[in-house]
Amino acid sequence: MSLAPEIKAKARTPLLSRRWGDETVVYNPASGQTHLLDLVSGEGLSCLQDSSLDLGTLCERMAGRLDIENDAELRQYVASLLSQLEELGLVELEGVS
Amino acid sequence: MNVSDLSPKELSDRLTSGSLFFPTGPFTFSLRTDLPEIIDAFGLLYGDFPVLEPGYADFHTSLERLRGVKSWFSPQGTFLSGGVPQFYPFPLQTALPHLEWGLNRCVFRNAHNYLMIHAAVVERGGRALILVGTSGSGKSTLCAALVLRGWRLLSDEIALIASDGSLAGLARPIGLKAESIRIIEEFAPHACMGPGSRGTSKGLIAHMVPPKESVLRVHERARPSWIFFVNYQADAPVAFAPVSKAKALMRIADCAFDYTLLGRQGFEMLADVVESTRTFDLVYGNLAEAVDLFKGPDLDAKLGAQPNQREQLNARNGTSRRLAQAREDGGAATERVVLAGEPGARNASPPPAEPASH
Repeated sequence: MSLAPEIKAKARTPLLSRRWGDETVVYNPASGQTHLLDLVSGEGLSCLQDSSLDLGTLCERMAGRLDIENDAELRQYVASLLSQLEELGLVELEGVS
Repeated sequence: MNVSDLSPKELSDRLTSGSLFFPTGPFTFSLRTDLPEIIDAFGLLYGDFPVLEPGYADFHTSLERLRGVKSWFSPQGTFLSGGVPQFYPFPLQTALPHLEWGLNRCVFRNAHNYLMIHAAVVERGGRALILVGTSGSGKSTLCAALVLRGWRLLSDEIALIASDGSLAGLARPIGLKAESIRIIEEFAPHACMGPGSRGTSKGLIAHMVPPKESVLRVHERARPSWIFFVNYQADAPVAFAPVSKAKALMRIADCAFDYTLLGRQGFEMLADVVESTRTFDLVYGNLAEAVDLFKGPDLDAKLGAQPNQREQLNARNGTSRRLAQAREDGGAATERVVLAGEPGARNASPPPAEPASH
């Protein structure tokens, strides 16, 4: 999945979350849904709770937090993650025409 | 004065006139019925319950025989709360289980100042053991057995979690199904059982009289300490395994009566409960073996290291491994990312029409 560079993602607020070990549960008051996220998706959402980020910056931050390489594969991975999180109503994409 | 202090005539008079008021945990009920078999069973099952002077009640209930043509051929009953039928008409021979289900229904449909989970709860030393399970999971059987071995009954159907995180008691008769009745009678021949009722949607149902101590101490709250997801499997040896806190929360949300209704408060309360407990899967096929697991003061030692510690270790070691694994799998990382966002996202935990394990 590709994501235009000008598009920024931000977590919808206010989300409630708890993290235990490598799992995070997130409650979305807007939808009344509770979601279980694994380590990578939880970390991604956490990055987006502080500020709205474009894909490149998000990958950079996630690579730093997860201590992994920031490469094309991660970029593809995170783009797909964003799509899923948006579908679940956990993040909103800004700059989408 | 307790129900057992009333003479059979006094009990019958009170029930027939609707002036029998009694507390179950934080709630006060009034009950009116003129069904002789219910009057007798109530005297047995609720013998240790206090009798209150008529006045305020949270729930005014009645159990009646329906009049009408259908009842000529097949006697039908109805259970009402506040004058409103709570079930479709049912065979009169199932009136006693419907009384119990009806009292439960009054609670789980209204008591939203509590987070209510469909679970059994027992207590020892101020610490609560919460047994979560679906119908047929062996939850109530294990609950009854633990109560017969010294654990205090808080509830066999509804875990009432107060806003301060403590568990309130709701000690009432423990409902058991056909096979469970036999197992409990073998396990504890001294167990006091009420009359059996055939023809329910669950087959034969009988209720075990709650121990007097549990009834007397019903107002003593307990702090949640252990949650077990119970799964009875015939002939299986006893086995338990830690369940991650996040997965435990998702599972409990699915069987909570008012998690969705309580919204963010429900999430915070449930997360706090999970945070403060150790969470396990439990499989058992032999009741005595399962009860042995909970015998003695050293349950925590038997259960081993805190899952918290394991989770932290996993977290430290898991990150690189997870993505490396995803890459080894041919870049199919996407499927691995969101574990439970869809389609299992919990947007509603609709309360069962009747508690599933009744």
